[in-house]
This record gives sequence, C-alpha cells and structure tokens, in this order.
Amino acid sequence: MKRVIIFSFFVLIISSQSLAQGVSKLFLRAQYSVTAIEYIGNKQYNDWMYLDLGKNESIYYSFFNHSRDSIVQSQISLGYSAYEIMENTRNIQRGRKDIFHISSESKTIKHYSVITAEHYYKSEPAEQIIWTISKDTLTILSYKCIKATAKFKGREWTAWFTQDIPITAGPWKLRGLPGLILKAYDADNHYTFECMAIGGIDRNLDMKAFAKFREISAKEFDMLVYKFKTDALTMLENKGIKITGAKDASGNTIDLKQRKSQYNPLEL
Amino acid sequence: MRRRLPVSILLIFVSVALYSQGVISGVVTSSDDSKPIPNAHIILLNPADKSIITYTFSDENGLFNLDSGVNKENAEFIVEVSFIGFQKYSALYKAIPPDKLRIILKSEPFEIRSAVVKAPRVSMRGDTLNYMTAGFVKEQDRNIGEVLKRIPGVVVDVSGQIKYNDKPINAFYIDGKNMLEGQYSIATNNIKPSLITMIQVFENHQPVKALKEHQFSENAAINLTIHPDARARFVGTADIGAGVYPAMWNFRSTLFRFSKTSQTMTILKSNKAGIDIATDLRLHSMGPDSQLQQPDLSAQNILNLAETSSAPVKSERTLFNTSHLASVNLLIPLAKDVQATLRIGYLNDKKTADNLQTTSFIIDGENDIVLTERGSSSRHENVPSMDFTVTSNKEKIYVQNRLYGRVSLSDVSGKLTGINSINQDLSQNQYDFAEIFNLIKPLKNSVLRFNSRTQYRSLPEELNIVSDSIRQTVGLIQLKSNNIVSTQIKLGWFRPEITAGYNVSSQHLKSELSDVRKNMVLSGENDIKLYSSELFITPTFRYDRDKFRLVIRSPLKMLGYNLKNVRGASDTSSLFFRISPSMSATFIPSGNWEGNLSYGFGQTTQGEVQSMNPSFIMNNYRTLSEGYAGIIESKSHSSAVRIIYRNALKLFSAGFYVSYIHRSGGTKSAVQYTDIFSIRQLLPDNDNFNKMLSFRGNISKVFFDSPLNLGLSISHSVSSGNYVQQSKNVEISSRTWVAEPAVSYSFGSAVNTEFNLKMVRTNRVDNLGSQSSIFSSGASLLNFIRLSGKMDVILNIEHYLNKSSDQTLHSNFFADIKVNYRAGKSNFELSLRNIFNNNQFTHSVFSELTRIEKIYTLRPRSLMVTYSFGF
Repeated sequence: MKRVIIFSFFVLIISSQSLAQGVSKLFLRAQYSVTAIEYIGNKQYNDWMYLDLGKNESIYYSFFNHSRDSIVQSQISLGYSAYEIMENTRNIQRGRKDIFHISSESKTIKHYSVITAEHYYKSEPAEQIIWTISKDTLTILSYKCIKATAKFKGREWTAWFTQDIPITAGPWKLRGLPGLILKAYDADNHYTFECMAIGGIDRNLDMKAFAKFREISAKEFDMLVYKFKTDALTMLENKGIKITGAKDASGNTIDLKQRKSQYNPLEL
Repeated sequence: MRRRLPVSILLIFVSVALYSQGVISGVVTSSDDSKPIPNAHIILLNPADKSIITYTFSDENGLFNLDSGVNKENAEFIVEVSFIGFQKYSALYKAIPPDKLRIILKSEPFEIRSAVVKAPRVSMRGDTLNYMTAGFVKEQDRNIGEVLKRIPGVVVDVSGQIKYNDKPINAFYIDGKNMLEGQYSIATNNIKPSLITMIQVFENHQPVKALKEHQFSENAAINLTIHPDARARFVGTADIGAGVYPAMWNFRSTLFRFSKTSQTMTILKSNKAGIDIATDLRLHSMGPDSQLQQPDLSAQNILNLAETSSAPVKSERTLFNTSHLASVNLLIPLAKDVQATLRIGYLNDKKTADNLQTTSFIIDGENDIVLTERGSSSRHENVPSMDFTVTSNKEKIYVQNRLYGRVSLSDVSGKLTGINSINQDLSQNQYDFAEIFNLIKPLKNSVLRFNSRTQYRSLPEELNIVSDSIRQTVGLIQLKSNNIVSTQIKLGWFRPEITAGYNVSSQHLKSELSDVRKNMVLSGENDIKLYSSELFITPTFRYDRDKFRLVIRSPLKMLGYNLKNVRGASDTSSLFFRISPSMSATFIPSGNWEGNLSYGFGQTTQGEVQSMNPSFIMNNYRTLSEGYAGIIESKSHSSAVRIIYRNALKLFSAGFYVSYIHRSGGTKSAVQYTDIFSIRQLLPDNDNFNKMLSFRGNISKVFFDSPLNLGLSISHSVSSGNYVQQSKNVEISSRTWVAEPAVSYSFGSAVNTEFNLKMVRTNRVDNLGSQSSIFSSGASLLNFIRLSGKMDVILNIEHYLNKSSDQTLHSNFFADIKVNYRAGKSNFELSLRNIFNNNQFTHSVFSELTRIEKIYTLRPRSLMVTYSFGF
C-alpha cells in the first residue's frame, strides 16, 4: 500500500555543512559594554565584549580575556616562566572566559569556557526566541532601533535592534530579530549589554584555535559551571589546589563561602 | 486515479487555506549568481507608520513562508526583504500575493555609519589603571608622550616631567622594567604609539619591593606595555628630512629591543630645523622619597650673558640651531631581580638667537629707567653624561649603587647694541659626579634603611667684556655628602620611624674681577670657603589605615658652619639648633575621593657659598652683586590643602589645590641703579617677608560614546614680597590668573580637531605708586584631515596675544601645514612652516622690579621634506 505523501509549501531540506571546515570570514565587529550582577549583594562586574560577525556565523568573547591571553601567549613564546607571566599580567584586567560561537547554518550554539584550568565546550541547538516587537524606537550610535521583548532562559529581556544592520545576531545568545541587537537588558537590570561601537574588520575565524577544548554534554557542562561558581573552594581542593583568598576581576576581595546563596546566573 | 485525487485536492485545500489565512511565501535569491540567500530577513510592515507587523527568515534554500495574520483580501502592507551585503527590497502590496514571490536581491557593499571600533579605553584592577593606547591615540601623534598627555590625571610639563594627580611619578617602566630611572623623556619623545598596546598607571606605587608592606606611597608610576609583535626583536625607525630656509635638515634614528630579560634603546638625532632635542637627556625628579637616590643637577650658574630667554611659543619658531644627540640605554639582568642599567648620552648643541629687548627698571613709576638693546648671541654646548646603576630589588632586601657623571662645556658669545655696543664671551662649564648607595632591609616587624649620596661639583666660569676689556672669572667647587640611617617599626596601624643622619659639605668660591670701565673702578676678588655639617635625628609618626593616613615628623638638627674669608683673613664659626615639624593628613572616603591637609614649619640657614661673596661679582655686563658674608636664618610656614576626585573608569578627574607659604627672615635684595647699571646686595633683614597664596584647579573629561575630550585647568596666585631699591623699601604684590581650556573632537574617522588655549593675566602693584598689568594668551587649533587611506593633512593655526596696561597690544598669528603620504611601512611628509612668514614675535613679562618687552626674531617660512620608515 502506497502511503499518502503530503507535500506542503513548507518543505524542509536538511542542508549539509556548506562552510569549509576550519576557516571562515568575519567582517563586522560590534563592541558591547556588559555589566552584570552575578552575585546578589556584590559589586557588579564590567566587561568589554566583542561580537565578530560573518554572514552565517558569529563569535562572542571578552576583549579583556582575549588581550590578556595574547600577552600570555607572546610571553610563553619568549620563554617566560609561569610565575613571571603571572607577575607580569597580575594587574591586567581579566574578562569572562566564556566564548559563544553561533552558526546560523547548523543552528547551533557552542559555548566554550575554562573551568578550573580545564577547557570544555558544549553544543546546543540555537533556541528560537519568540520576540514581541513594539512601536517604541530609540537611537543608538546613530542607528534607529526598535524595541522587542521576550522571555528567554528564565529572564524577561528587552532588546533594541536595528534593521539598518540586517544580521540576526546580538550579544550572548540573544538573536532572532530582523536586525542586530544593540542594547539588551533583563527586567531586573541584573545583566545589561550595550553596544558602544560598530566597525568593519577583516579576520578569519579559525576553528583550529578551539581544538584544545573538549566537548562534554550540556548537562555536565552546566553542572561544572554551577559548582565552580558556587563552591570553587571544594572544586579546587579536589584538584589539590588550596585557595586562601580570592579577588574578582576588579580586584575586590570576595567571600567564597557566601557564593551559593548569592549566585545569580545569566540563565535561570 | 482515485488515490491521486485526494492529494491534489489536499494541495488545493492547503493552498486555499493558506491564501485565506494570509500566508506570503516566496524565495530569495542573489542577482549575481541566482543562488538562494539563507537567513534573509522578510519583514511585513504597516504602511501607515512603518511599524513591524511580523517577520521571518529564509531557510537554507532561500524559501520563506510568512504568516501575515491578515485575513482580508485587500489589506495593504509592505514587504521588506534584506540581508547584509545586498540592497534592500521593499514593495507595497494591496493584497496577499497568490503566487510565490520571487525576490531577487542586488548585491551592494554594506556601509557602516558608526565610529571605528576601538579598544576599550580604560579598565581597572586594584590600584592599576590600564589605558589602551588605541583608545587615546590620534593620527597626528608622533610619539607616546603625546598620547600620555591625554590620560586623565596625567600632566606632562614643558620640561617633559610627568605628574599624576599633581605629584611626580616615582617610576617609569617599559614592560615592567626600569631602564631609564628619571631620564624617561628619551622614551616619551621617541617611542612611537604603535609600539605600545597599553599604558598602565600604578597608583600608590611602591617601587621598592622590600618596602611594599611597610611604606605607603602617594606617588604613581607609569608602565608602557610593548606590543607583542615588537618584543624580542630589533625595532627601528629612521626619519630623514631636508629643507630650505636656507639649508635645513632633520635626522632621527631609533633602534629598540625589548626582550624577556634585557632592554636596549639607542637614539641618534641631528637637526638644523629649530627642534630642541636637549630635553631628551633631562633627568627628572621622581618625587620626594627619591631625592637622595638621584644626583642634584640644579643649575647654579653665576655668570650670564643676559641672552635671550625662550619665548612662549613653540621652540621650533624661535630656535636657530645645529644640534646633535646620541643616547644609548641598556638594561642587563645579572641575576633574578638584579639588573644593571647603563645610560650614556652626548649632546652637541649650537644655538643662536637675536632679539630686541626693552627693559623698564621700575623705580617709582615716574623715574623709571628704560633701556633698549638689540642682542644677538651664539651658544655652543657639549654635554657628555653617563649613569650606571646596579639594583637588586628583592622582597628580602633592596640594594642599589649608582654612579653618575655629567660634564657641560658651554661657550657663548654675544653682542649687545644699545646705548653702548658690547661684545662678550662667556665660558660656562659644569662638572658633576655623584656616587649614591641605598640599602633597605626588612626585618620581621621593622625596616632598616641606609642611604648615602656623595656629590662633587665644579663650576669654572669666565665672562669677558671684550669691547671694554673687562674680565670676570668665577670658580665654584662643592663636595657634599648626605648620609642617613633609619628604622621603621610596624605596630599594627602605627609605624613609628627614627631617622638619623649626618650631612657634610665643603664649598669653595673664588672669583676675580679686573680692569677699568668708564668712570667706574672695578675690581673684586673673593676667596671663600664654607664648611658645613649637619647632624639630625627625625622621629616620624605614621598612622596608616584604610581611609585615613597621618604622618607627623619633627626633625631635630644641629648645624655647624665655618666660613673662611681667605682674602679678608676672617674665620667665623656658628652652631645652630633647629626644629622643623611637619604634618600631613590624607582622607580617602571612597575610591574616587582623596583629600589632603599638610602643614610645615621650617627653619633654614643660608648655606650656599655663591651668595656669600663679600666683594663684587659681575654677573653680567650691567649687574654687579655682593653677597652676605655670614650665616643667616629664615623661617617659613607652609600649608596646603588638596582635594581630588577621579573616576578612572568614566575618564573623569578633577583636582583643587590651595597652598600658602610665608617666609620671614633671611636676606633681601637691595638694588641700586646707576645709569643702566645695577648693583645688587644681599642684606640681612629680620623684617623681610615673602608670602604666596595660590589656588589651582583642573578638570578633565573624556567621553566614551562620543569622540570628545575636555580639559580645563585654572589657577590664581597672590604673592607679595619686599625689596630695597634706591635705598627705599619696596613692597610688591602681584596677582596672577591662568586659565587653560582644551577641547578635542573627532568627526568620524576622517577628521579630528584639537583646540588649546592658555590665558594669563598678571597685575602688579607696589607701595611706591606704580601699578601695571599684562594679559597674554596663546591659542592653537590643530586639524587632522584624512584625505584617503594613504594621505592626510595636518593644519595647525596659532594665535598669540599680549597686552600691557599701557595699552600696547601685540598680536601674532601663525599657520603651518603638513601633508603625509604612506606607502607600506614608509611615510613621506611635506611640511610648510610659518606660512605667513612672520619674522617677529613680541612679548612682555614682569620680573620683580622690572618689566621686560622682548621682540624675538623668528624662523622664516620654511619647506621640508621628510622620509620615514620603520622595521
């Protein structure tokens, strides 16, 4: 018996990987100032994030972490010892170690991070965010932006996007609007992203740079991050490292024992 | 057949269903190659207000289905399709299109409107501020010193000294290493901004590791972080320029290497283009804590030619020179935390000057003496110097030994034409040698310090008034040794300290004045020896806790002097006991605010032999001076308030300073004018007083979201003093106001503008009834215009105004233009200076009992071509 095959206008073809493995071109950079209250009751941290965009993919990372890593790499190549590198970079601001690589073609988000000096990444589908677009407008960096709201990863988000840059991208995992998101914040203003500059770049995204990261399941990845953020002392002691004190990226002393109750992650 | 029918009916049903629900479908392709465009934006807009109704994205095949949510068949809407790198498609529809839309997008380069992405300007970690060079550099900057001036809180004065929050920096590092000690102008004037990724300011920096837990520092340090691509390899630049004025040249060659362990900087310069290169070798003060770690190079010349002083315009406009400079700087590691640094410099500098000077000796406003002279002079200097330091900077011990030597050989010749015609020759030589040793050893709860500085100086000078056959020779020899030992104990927040020291000095002044001039019989010989010794003990109390710091010290001194007048066969000895308490309290209510209150009482004795000559010395052809051959005391009260607010992350800083100094006792100047000649004497006078009250404020703001920098510095000072003139007691009071606004703005990436203005007003009043005022201003407008990716133009316009109370107004206007063309790593520059060919600059100033108006001869219009390259 032949089956009735229903054809519809919604024809899906699962495409094969059209991008060449390894290298792709990035041509636009948006620079975001990020503020976050990652621990309630603590000072907010600030970071400077770059969103480098290609036609079908993007990479989102901390400028401070990237530039510090560049200095570290150059000193490694010059033969500096680990202690010397630590001394030389002690006063350079550190940024977030998280890197997000989003591919519109494969509709996946790869989240790379360094947890207790180990390099991990997880891969997850790029969740479709259901945005509600309003009529409100705002000018940011001379671009006319339109307001949109959505609930995503446990938070109520407000985003301002511009149709003048027709790329469906934004900071972190925020995307899915018909234009680049230039500003976004959650309802509590615990996490804010604001675009400070947009410019052209000409660089290749070489995925070989991520070869040192080991893929683990999303569940395992999230559990490691949670443990590190709430009980780093135990985690490090289990690795044989005894910590007597800690400071945040701005150099302020933090009380590691209070972390769990204060933890306010970006994804709730 | 029957089986097919349901399918086709189903299809029709589906299509009818979609049509009636308002689904718009289509495909998006590129006009270039007809390939589908995935992820294109398909947006439905309300034609009335262009608001978004709904949107979707095309899939991998460029296909889309957009549920418009519109049921009416004749509803109006706009369909907009866009994707980066393509022209936007927009069309008005009056009904849901029944057929699939075929949208073909034409490719179009994407234009970015916003500012060029730059690195974040500043970040903070603990006490360290990290300023990304890219956030502060402008296209027209030739060296890192020009970038430093834009860092909030940093001031670079005309001598090249760097101050942070009004205090001199106490260390200048390159990649964390201190190769240059206080001679950092060689770096700030010659390192290109592209070599530096980051400028770090270490606030409250303690350069001595052994003192880190023991002594708080109020001074900051600067570190330049070398670009990773420039590390561990030779990096060099060369500038070769030639021009016409008549013939001009400008040559500069730099060779640097900054590696993990060693550093080297070699600079060669030569120019006949009015560029002053002597500042490169200047040794700057590194703050009060480092006074005994540096040689004392204060100028002590006794004879002068009354030659041209520098005009308040760029030296390139007034300097006629032929200058050569060589500087070699090395840092070599000897062991872990132990390094040796060697700095060798040589300056050969020939300068000529020409000016017309009118000097008014203010007597009583009615009988003032006015003298007009045209002067020309030529000075030729040879200055070799060497500075060798070995430093062990460890947490357990700090040891430093420094050997310094500098020779300055100057020959000056001059001609003055006025009432008389005078030819003069002056030979001014100075020899300085210093040996400095430091040892700091922290113990369990205390720190032990030992410091010793021994310095030898010789100043042989000779002035010949050739036309009148008059000769004055002076020889000054000084040998000084300063030695201290101290111990500081840490008792929680309290840190008492005891310092004891012994300073000795031996000074010998010999001079001879010979021959006869007009009706004046001149002769004078001096042979004076001054031996002084100072034994002191200074208890210091320090309290240092979070938001409050207090330092109270009270040096107790026993001073002994022995003054021998060899010619007069007199020998006097004196012994003094002195106490000079001082206090400094600093409040830090938050990370952004700082307030300081300080007071000091000083008792000093005149201790320099060059002001003790009992017989006349002819300082210049119309000034004779006689010192006071005795030890005389003076007292001073000084107090100051300082309030600083800074928010480094918002690039804002503001400071307000008030200081008051009152001196009494000591000596006062007595001047007697006879014709154009003056005789100056130092007289003891316990009624003598000098007071100075000054107010100063500055504010600077750099904006993140617009390319605007603002700066404003204002100051007001009131000073008073008294002198004796023509046997009358003259009390002078003067008030000075200074305002310096600065604005810079970038118009996109193609144009940036800097505007600087300095306005000075001085009022002077004396008790003899004369009063006068001078207002002067200097404004500069610099415009950088990028014509293309390879070519740019720099246009500089300056205006100077000088107006005195007799309504004499001098206005000077200058313009210069430079055109740069870049080809790979090379750069060609064509510069035209002084476009309007101004040949004179007039300026008036007050100086105690005189008012001086000078007309400087300027360098005429000149054209220069320079080729630069780097590797």
